[in-house]
Amino acid sequence: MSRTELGQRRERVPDWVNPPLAIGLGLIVLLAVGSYVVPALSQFDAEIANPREALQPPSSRHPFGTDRSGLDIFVRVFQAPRIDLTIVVLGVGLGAVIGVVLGVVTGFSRGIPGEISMRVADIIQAFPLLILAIALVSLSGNNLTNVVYVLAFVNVPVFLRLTRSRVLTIREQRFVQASVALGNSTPRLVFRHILPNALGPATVQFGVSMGYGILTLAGLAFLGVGVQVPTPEWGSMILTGSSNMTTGQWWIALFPGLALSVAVFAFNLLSEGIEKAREVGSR
Amino acid sequence: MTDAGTDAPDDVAATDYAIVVEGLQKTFRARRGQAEVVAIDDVSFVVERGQTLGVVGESGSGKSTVARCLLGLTPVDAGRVEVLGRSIVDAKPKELRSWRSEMQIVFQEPLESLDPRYRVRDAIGEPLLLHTDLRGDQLQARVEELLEQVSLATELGARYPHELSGGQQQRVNIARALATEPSVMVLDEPTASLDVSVQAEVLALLVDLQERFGLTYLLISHDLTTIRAVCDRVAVMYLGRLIEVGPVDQVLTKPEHPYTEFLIGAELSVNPDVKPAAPVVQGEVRSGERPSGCVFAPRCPLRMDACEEAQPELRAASEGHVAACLVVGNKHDLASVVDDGPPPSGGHRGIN
Amino acid sequence: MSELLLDVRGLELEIATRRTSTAILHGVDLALDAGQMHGLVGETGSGKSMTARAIVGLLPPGGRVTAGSVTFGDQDLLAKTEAEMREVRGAAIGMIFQNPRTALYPMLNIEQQMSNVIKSHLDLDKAERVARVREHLGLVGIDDVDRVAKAYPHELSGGMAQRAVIAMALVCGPSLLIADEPTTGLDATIQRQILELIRSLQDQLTLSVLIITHDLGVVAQYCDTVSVMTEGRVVEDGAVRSVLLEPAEEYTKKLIAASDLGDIRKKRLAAQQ
Repeated sequence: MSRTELGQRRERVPDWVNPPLAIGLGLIVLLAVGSYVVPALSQFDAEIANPREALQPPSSRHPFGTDRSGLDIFVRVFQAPRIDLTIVVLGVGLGAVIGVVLGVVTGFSRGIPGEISMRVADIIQAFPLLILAIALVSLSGNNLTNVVYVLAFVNVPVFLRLTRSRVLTIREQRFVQASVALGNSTPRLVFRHILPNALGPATVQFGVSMGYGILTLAGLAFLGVGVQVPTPEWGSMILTGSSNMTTGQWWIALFPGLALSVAVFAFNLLSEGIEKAREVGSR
Repeated sequence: MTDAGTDAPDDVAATDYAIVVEGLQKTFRARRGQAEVVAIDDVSFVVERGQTLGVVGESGSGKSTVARCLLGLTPVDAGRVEVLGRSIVDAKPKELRSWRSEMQIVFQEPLESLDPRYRVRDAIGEPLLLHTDLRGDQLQARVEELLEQVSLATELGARYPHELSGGQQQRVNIARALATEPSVMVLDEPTASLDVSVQAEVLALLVDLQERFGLTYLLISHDLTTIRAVCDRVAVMYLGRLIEVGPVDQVLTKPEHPYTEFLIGAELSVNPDVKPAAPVVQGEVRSGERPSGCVFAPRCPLRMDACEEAQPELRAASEGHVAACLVVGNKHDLASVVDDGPPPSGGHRGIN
Repeated sequence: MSELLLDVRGLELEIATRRTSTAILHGVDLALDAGQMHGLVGETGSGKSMTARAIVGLLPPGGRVTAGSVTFGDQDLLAKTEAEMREVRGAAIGMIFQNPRTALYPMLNIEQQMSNVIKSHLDLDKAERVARVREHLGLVGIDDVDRVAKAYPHELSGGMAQRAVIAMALVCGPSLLIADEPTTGLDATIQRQILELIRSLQDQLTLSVLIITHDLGVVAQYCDTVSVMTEGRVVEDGAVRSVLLEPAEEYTKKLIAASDLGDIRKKRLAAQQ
């Protein structure tokens, strides 16, 4: 029997491997790694225009064809995750952390702060997501850093709500009272007992929110906010390619669109996998 | 007549007692949808070191609240609470926390008392982390020692709570409570959620541990069989009042208060030839207005006008045995006073 | 000499999931004479509740009776269809469970619920139904019948709710009452009230009762005969006095000793010498 140092922070559940988790995580890792490997192996640069080869359909030379600037779509589709994944992980991650912390604090302490935070969350969530995001980015300045902050901002309410409601339940459970009776101080109680038990829904939500985050980023780019040409990003690629759909160059928007779907799918699988994995360890 | 508040002689020094409770008062404020509840009304008792005091009562008696207040888990409105000579009521949070190594509690719900994400060995080890300098191998060794003391196989240390049976879970709770070698243990219905055969095992363990370590127990229970088996003295509570206190064998064979008699009568012996000792009580504990006067008067067949005027004080029936009833010491025969036939619901509507 | 009302022989039951099937009952025998109260006693997982459910055909999903017979009077209950069993339940066999308030439908008052039960079994007009409801509420010792009839389940105290549940179980005049842990969770003094009530109803209505419990005290004081179950089997049965005063099986002896806690008491007293 192996022994753990009791002083260490509790690790997540062991034997957590399950198909959705493996596939979801695998796909995401592939996309991330591929965003560096594929451009390195390709003869084409994702950002240097090559007008002589513009608007070519998929061929052995350009598996996904080229766009109106002659850029190889294959390389661009695979390089896009550098932006897409990074921004979304940072943005949603930041929002999740803030939301969870606020959720625990307002859930554990009774009274007014909890009610206020819920109403503020209601207000933020009442706005249509994309419109709110566009408004905030435009107000704060159209650059990628602000996009990260805005993504974080629009994600805080969901994580706050989920965590808070979980904390409200946990707070009443017998083991919390037992932990106090053992001699836990309030900070230790919150950090060691309440928070770990409250993270469940948030962890699952993270995967789902990542999926939405990519869509949001793509949507923003599609509307000209955030990512600038010629940086490859699925949303902006779909933007530029959409006008070509009517003139017959279907490949320009299709492949980034497919990639986007795969990424969202992968994150949803990841969520499902995390949920299943958490069930394994502690009920 | 002894001090009406406690049943202890006045000349014994306070520090001889492991637990001193005097004039304890606790009312839960009205919240939306719920009325105000007087949970504890002027309760006083003492427990000597190494002894077991049982607190028995039915729903609404306040017995569980007493357990919580004793350890400062629920704030009190008024009264004195001293455990091992220290005042719980005025204690500063940090002080109180450090004292917890000497006074522990085991709750009724074996599984729910454990953090589901903590393995057994980590649950038992937590108080050691909080109150001692033991770490690493030394800490593990102490955890293994505790597992052994509660008769659990050391392999179970790696398991999660939900992987254990109810009896095993409760043993883990006991081991965890013992970790810092406390002197006082509050046991809040420790076996109520367990199967009958497991109950006996866990109670035997508790009695054994008390003998080995000289523990003082406050045992909360609704079950007289348990009280009779494990306790030295018993306090009977009804609607937040202490209505009888005394040596367990005496209170349970020669009860002074009518409610205690009914409680004993509600005990069903496993021996079919031993019939219940008293008739069936009428009515139920009603929520709503508290009776002015004796709390049991509305249901008491011996009720007199005087009973409704003021709450009876605790009167001595014999050495160390007191009861809060106007007929204490006078022989009374409940059976002759209660009607025959199926017990009606007692005239009260049974509507909350 | 009483006649045999309920005769269960060799009952075997399993619960089948997609992957496995688990045998829950391994040949249970049970006999209840008319007018008697029979206790089915065991700990959690002994199969006592499952036996009762098998008798009335209320098995959990995946539950199947694989062998044995259940005869009620002259009827073979296992051979009946679900529709036929619905007629049996309530009219011929009444049932009550633990946690009376959760056994009652929260959205209707007591009178409405009882009236619905009557409607499904007896052909009475509204006035007759109301009268019958009130009569039975009175029978179970409720003084303020009007109030309780108009009350909703959450408005009733535990004991009052259990009385209402009993009234509802008996309102169509069944000859057998199956009570599954009817007093568990109630205060001891209320428990006794309910048990005395059931006993007096037995006399008044010529009712037979099958009571399922983990409490040997209930069995000792109120039952005529008893079956002791563990792990899906009946290990001992017979008249209460002989089983409890002269138990033959080890398990029965263990159960009696555990309910009594006499050993612990002796030990405590000895330690004080």
